[in-house]
Amino acid sequence: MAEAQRIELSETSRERLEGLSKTMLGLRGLIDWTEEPGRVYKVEGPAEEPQQ
Amino acid sequence: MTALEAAAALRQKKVSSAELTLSALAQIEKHNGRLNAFLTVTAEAALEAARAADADFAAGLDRGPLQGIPIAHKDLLLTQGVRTTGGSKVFANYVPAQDGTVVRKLKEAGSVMVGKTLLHEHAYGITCNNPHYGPVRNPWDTERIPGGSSGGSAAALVAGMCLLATGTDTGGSIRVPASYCGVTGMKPTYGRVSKHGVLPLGFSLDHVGPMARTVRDTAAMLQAMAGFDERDQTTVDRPVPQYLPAEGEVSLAGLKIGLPQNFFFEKLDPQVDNAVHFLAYTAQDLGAELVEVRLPDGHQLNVVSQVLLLAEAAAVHEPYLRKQRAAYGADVAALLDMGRLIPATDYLQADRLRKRMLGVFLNVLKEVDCLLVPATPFAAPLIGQTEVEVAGSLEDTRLATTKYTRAFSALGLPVLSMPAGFTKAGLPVGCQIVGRPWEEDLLFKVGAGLEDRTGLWKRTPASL
Repeated sequence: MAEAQRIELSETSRERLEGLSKTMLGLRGLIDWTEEPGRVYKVEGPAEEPQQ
Repeated sequence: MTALEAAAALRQKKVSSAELTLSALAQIEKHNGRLNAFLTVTAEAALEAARAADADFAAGLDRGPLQGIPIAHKDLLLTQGVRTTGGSKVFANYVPAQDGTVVRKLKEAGSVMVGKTLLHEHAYGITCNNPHYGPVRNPWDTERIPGGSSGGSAAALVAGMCLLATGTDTGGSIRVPASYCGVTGMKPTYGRVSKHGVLPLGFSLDHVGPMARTVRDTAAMLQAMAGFDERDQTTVDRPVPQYLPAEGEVSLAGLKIGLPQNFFFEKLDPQVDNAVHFLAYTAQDLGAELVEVRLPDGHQLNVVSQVLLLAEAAAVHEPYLRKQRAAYGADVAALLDMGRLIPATDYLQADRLRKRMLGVFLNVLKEVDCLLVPATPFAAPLIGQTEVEVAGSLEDTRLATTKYTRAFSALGLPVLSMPAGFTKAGLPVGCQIVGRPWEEDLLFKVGAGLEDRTGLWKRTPASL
């Protein structure tokens, strides 16, 4: 992907991205997959309060 | 002198706005060469506005406690006819035709703008070591960073170059400089203050907030800034309560303050740990009950916050980065490149996880009224220092600095950052008081009680 976008990452940036990616993979275990997708990704109105 | 003390003196005719403004401008003249807190000084316009404020007082027109008070705006906020750089080369010559909403509201409240403060380039970082305009220096030790990205605002307050200042906060940009410079700042609830007319970084994470020397000044300033704005779709139309705590000793009786048993007091300078616990016992002395709580994993929440910011900042800067890459400093360009490589699925799942983690935090905040945690794990690092030793291990300065602040930007919860104490070397360290959405008033009450008892804000650097 970096090559396709012609992005040259430093070693530090590459390692940090890999770390984030691995953690995000693990965090998927916390997601409630039974949630209604339409509810999760709904377009929020302007006057909505943070979800309680 | 605090802003509210100045406001009282103005009404008692002990001082004029012109005199306050001249004093601020004199401090800028005296210290800005060394601190580099201001990028633009608007002396002539400031004196004109001050004289107008004095004329209003003389005519019996009183717009409230900010009238005639010198204020500085972070150079991320659009100011009519005054260039707004975002601390960048990309916007080096941008002169907005209009004020942003917050600048306009503060102007309508009668405050007197003395200039624009320097920041980390594009507000994307915590050092304020700006590649285009030079480093902002910490007034407590000019070899150290002031924190960022609102570092110019914090340094200006300490040096008496203004009595109030605006800041913005996407991952800690109000709270980190408040901690490193020993001032107070409020990151309000997401949606409480308009972002219209503020150069964006992370659209679901950006907040605009007040900064000042004291909690009460910060409260008075938020009063003028808060409220629904039809030009910012993320603001919420709900009443703005009275923020300024009552005069006299504040009782915290009946309040429960949560002290997290995980993450926030792990791997930090023991001097910071001691300072924050000293404040906790002070709160207990004022009547509050201290309650041990457990919070969601801070490391996980920080990863979620980083994914959101990396992707959003890359999306915001995409058109500029493509055309003007050479105009970006190396650290910001590297972060934007990383952001372009965050998978869309990771971004969407991070947003989903954020909402889930907010639910857990809100459940904890049903058991306690607020949380008390450190703002930063250590005092201000040296300019150019890339790693910091914390509890025996080396950590990246930038990531370690924001590890206690980042999550609350992603969650949108209100946070008051205020001085907690000083290290043996005489450097300030700060704490965060975190509350339920829309309960900034409660945080100001707790903060005012602690501030009245400790008087920490009164200390100033010997060099000033």
